[in-house]
Amino acid sequence: MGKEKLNRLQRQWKGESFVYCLLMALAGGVLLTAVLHAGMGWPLWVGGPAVVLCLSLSLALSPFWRVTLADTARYLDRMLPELEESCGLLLRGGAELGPLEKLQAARTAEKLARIRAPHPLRRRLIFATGLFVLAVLLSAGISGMSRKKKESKVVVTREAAAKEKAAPGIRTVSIRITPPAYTGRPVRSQSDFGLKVEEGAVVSWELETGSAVDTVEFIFNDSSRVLLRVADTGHTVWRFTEKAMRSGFYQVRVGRQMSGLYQLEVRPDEPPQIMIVTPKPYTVIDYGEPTTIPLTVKLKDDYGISDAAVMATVSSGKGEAVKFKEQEIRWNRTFPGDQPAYELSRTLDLKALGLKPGDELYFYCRAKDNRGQESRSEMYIISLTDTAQLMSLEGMTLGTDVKPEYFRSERQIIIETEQLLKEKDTIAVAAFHQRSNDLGVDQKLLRLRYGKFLGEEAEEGEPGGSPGDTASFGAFGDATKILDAYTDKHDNAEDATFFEPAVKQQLKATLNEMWKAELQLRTFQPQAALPFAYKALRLLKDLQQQSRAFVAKTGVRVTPLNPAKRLTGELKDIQAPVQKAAAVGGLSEAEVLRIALGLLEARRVGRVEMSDADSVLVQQVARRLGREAAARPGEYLSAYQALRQITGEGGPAPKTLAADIPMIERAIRQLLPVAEALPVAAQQTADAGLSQLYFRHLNDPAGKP
Amino acid sequence: MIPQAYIQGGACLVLLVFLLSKERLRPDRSHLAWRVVATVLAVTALAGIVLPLHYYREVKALPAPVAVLQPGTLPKGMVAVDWQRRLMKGEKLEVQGHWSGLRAKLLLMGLGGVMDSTVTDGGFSLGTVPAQIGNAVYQLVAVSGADTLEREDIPVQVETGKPLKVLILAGAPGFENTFFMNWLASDGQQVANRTEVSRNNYQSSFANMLSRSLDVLTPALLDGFDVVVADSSALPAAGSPGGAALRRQVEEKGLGLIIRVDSAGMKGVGWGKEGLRVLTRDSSMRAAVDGRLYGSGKVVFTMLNATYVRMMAGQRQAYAAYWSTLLRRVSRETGPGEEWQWVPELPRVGEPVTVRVRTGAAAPVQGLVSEESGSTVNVYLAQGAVLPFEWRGTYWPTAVGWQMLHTLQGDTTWAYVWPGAAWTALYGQRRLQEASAHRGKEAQTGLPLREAVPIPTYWFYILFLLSVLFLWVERKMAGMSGPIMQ
Repeated sequence: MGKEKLNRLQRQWKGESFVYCLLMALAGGVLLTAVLHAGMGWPLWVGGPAVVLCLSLSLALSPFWRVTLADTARYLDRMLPELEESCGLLLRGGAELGPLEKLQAARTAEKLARIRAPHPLRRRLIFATGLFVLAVLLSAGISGMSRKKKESKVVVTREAAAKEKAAPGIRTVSIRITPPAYTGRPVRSQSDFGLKVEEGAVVSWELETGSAVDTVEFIFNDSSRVLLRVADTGHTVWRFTEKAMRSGFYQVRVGRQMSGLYQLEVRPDEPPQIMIVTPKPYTVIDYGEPTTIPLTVKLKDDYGISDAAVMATVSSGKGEAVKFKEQEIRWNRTFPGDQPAYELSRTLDLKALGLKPGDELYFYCRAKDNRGQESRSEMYIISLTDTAQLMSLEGMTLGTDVKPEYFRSERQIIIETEQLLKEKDTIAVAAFHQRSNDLGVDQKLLRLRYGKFLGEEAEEGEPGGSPGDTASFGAFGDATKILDAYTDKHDNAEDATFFEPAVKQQLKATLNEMWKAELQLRTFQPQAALPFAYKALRLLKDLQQQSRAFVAKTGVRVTPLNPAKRLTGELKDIQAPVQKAAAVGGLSEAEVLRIALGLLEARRVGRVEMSDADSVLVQQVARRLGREAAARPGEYLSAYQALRQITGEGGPAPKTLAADIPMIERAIRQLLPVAEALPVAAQQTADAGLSQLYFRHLNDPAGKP
Repeated sequence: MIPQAYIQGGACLVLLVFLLSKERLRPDRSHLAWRVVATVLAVTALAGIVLPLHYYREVKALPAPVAVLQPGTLPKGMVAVDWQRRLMKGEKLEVQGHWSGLRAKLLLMGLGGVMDSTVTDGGFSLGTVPAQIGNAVYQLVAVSGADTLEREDIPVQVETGKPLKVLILAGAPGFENTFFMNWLASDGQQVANRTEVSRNNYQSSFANMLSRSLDVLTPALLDGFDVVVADSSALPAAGSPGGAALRRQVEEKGLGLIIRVDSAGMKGVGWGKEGLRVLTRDSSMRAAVDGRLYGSGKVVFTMLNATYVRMMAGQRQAYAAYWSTLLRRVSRETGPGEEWQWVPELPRVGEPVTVRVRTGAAAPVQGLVSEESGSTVNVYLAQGAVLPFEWRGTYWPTAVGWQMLHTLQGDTTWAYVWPGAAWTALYGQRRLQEASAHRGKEAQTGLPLREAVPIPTYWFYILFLLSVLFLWVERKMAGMSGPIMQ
């Protein structure tokens, strides 16, 4: 019984000592991990091995977990005098004990059962727990500090986010902004002086000053001043209302104190933006293509779109007999005026609009926003090919009797195909197939003839090789073939090997169409071959007309000159004209800005005194910056404010002035174009006339130098 | 004087002949051959003792130099940087150099922003057109990720020069001269234009200058211009007084002349074609502008007579760059001022700077350096021994930043002094180069590959003694067995 108690105590103390070691290990491990992670950037999973390390260390160092039963007994003996030093007896087995010892053991066991066991490790456990908590807090602190340092590093490199400086003398400010009704935006209020409002919004300020003052004034753009209205008897609440129309900046003057410059940015209402997604700006519809065009338009506005439509114009006829018909195509929806973005689509049926082959359709989209501003898109053109005109030979038969062979071939193929289609129902199927195949062969021959220009397959599929193909095995060392590749054969027009790349591209496209036509013809579908044949003809015609040059009529007869009367005018009454011009005196605007940049740089590296002329120059630049800040306060206001402080007008210069100078320089550089080169004279070398002496002596060696 | 060795050698030879003859004359012929050999050996040994004899042998390899420079690591960073210190307005600043080390991003920052940047691990070249007029300090920064590896100051001076005076002689009114004149006038240059509008009727225009008579070109008139831009038909004939005055001005006074020609006139008609150098070529690689020196002036023939098209197309920068370069090359040079130079080119605080001034002043020149703080330091200059217009001195800068250098009468020049810790990699590289050059010099002291070693004389003494001993023993032996020679 006593032994069990001893066992129990031993196990308990062992457990406590393990907990103690674990706590110490955890404390050490957590602290170590925090230090490594924050100081040297090691990843967090280092904590595991760190804790294991500390655990092994603490287990090795602390002896408490090695407690044995004998130790327990000895400890109890020492700590509890009433046990009469006899716990050792309990450990020995009952058989070994003498009668006296058994008695004593029984007594000891009894006493042991009653007394409260001591806690040898209590203080240590408390200490370990405290240490662990401390370690956790410390590591949290370390990692928090390191994180803050990282963040602060990033912030310093960028400009410090502008925290608005409070105006002196003002305790609170409340600004209510009422956007115009048509924008649909709610009323909002803010307590900062810097404003970003919609155009036409009504802004009302309500200021509360710390003490009673006589006047509170707003100074807009350094020029116009307005007094605020006092709203209570104690002269502490002041009000002002205005409609915001233009951007600028303003200052608050309370009594004699001036605040900094605050931004007043007004966002204008832009007209709606129209983007036509399909079709492309210029579309040509060839024979055989569908005559319905999908029209997709994206509309975007700041606040809302109230109306949109498509204005279409159909032009028919040619030359002086052109007729235009204008019509408006509406979308099948209404525009209530509160949605800012739309994606609209519909199909334009060209036949329904009245287009015939050869006509063109010009259309553009227009949109109106709920403020009434209108905008329109670019003009888009759709044209239908006129096949009848393609097939005609007008303009080419004038003056020449020779019909160009290739055009007749393509036209001939089309004519014969259409003939075949007309006769389709009257001839036998085999004959139809035969004729279709023949037309396909014709088309193939035509294609091959053109293909020669591009160095493609010659007749009967014999590879002709490209003009630059001298590396083939058989041609190695063949002088004529090498020369062939690089000479320009311009005496034989049909074998010309040099075309411009653009012309070659067009020829390739033509060949592509011819091949498609041939495919259809050979597979006995002449109906499907027609569109391709027409397209090939159109491309060929474009190619030919591209290089056409128009020459004026020659053979103009003018009256011949009369040599007797030539150059016999009387000139004595004509006076020699004299013109004078003088550049505007002084420095140009750009030069003033550049010289100011140089002065600011000097100031940045430490030279604080400026001469009077330089100060005048810098004030001129400050005024220019002020004008720019009034127009675009977001970009130039802070630079203007800093420059005013340098010139002394903006109140006492704060300590961080040197850091503001790069910002001012950046703003000034935005106003400058790239410097233009100046012609100046070179300077002679300073050699006290030595080279002049040498030169004179060169020219006159005998005489005096 | 016959050298002593030859006398001694001759004497030994005579002795040998005498002794041999004595031997032959001895009646006793026993061991004659041996006696002859011994005699020859004895005399040779005597000669060897008396004459200075040498033999040549190869020199052993030198031991390695004691101090071999083995730098632990080569200097890393900007090991070489250069840029133009003084620029004219509109000229492009180019910072070029070499970066040694890992790949880094180099930024040229200044006037509140980044002007140019590049990523390199070797040579780099950054450029910008400076926006200021006056002195500015840009920075050349090397960054890698979020770390700044090196940051150095790049001081730049931008100046505007004095305006040019240009005279335009045109054979007919045209757009080219109109645009040219307008551009020059807008920049503040002084321009005069004489255009022939009818036979012997000229129109004169003046911009930024007082009007004067341009009908006849007199030396006094031409003195007041730096460049003359003329059509080939508007130039006065070579024989006329105007032509002669123009020629003299170009040849002796350094006036610049630009002649607008067509392709036939490019051969330099009237002005010779020796030394004609092509300045610009057109797109088919034919010469479009070429020029030559003519006496102390320059003559340029240009076929590009439609440059106004560039101005009309809005390319004002390109137009200005072309004409500025051409005019700068051709125009008369202005009088010499002072030229300051300092070595090293990147001086640091506390290190000595050698200052050199070239000036035409007759009196002794004293240099003054005014630092940022306002204090003025006297730099005492010594006149050069060979070139009397060159003065040198040394001074130790104590403050970082711009220093104003000037003499008592002259204009000011600006120099920049860096802090002591700047340009460590560059100076390290320089020191390394100097050390290896010095080591290379040491290895070339020209020691001979062979040396003459004197033959030690004790051999000859031994030989002499032995041969004389043999002769004496032989004599004694012969004397014992035969009659003694009288």
